[in-house]
Amino acid sequence: MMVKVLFFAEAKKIVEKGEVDMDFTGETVLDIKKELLEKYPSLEASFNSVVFAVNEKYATEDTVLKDGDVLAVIPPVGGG
Amino acid sequence: MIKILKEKIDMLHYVELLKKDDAGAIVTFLGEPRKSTEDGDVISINYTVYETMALSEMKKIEQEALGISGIKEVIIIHRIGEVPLQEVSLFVGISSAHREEGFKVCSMVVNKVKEKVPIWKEIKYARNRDS
Repeated sequence: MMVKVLFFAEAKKIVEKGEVDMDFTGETVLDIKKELLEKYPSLEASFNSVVFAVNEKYATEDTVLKDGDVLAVIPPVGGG
Repeated sequence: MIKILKEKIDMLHYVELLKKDDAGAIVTFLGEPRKSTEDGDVISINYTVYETMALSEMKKIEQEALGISGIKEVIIIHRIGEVPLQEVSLFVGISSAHREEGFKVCSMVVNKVKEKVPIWKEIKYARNRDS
């Protein structure tokens, strides 16, 4: 399943890119989170505080993705 | 109305847009980059955004606020990019029938923007020191 992954703020700094297209074997946000950590182990510390969005909506770890979806890695937000 | 702007927010323009015949109060909140002792020589804050999702989240907050009794108009504007000290990064304006709901909803909107809208800040320090 091909998914576009977007990185922002410190996650973007860690992986040194804003987006990447990845082929995942898992289906849920939790599965993808594990696969992302395999590819980018340096994200581990920051993953304690990130949340995820699928197609621009906040998701839970149980959210199921499909081919072509966009997953955003959202570090703690700080607008205002 | 919701907006994400790269340029300075023209506050008086947006206050004018909040004026309604059936509104007895306009409440505004202006958020600015803050210099505090522990932060050192802060000169600005650089805001980055996941723009399409940020607009979607801001729209939800605006619609929730407009659904509250007595609320006549809601304006939420976030500036992104580099915002120097003493310039506005967040403008929230509420026009309402009475002041009580205006104060309450303005506070609610600001809290939700800070909690839900995917915008991040990076503090810029003098002498090339970054956060």
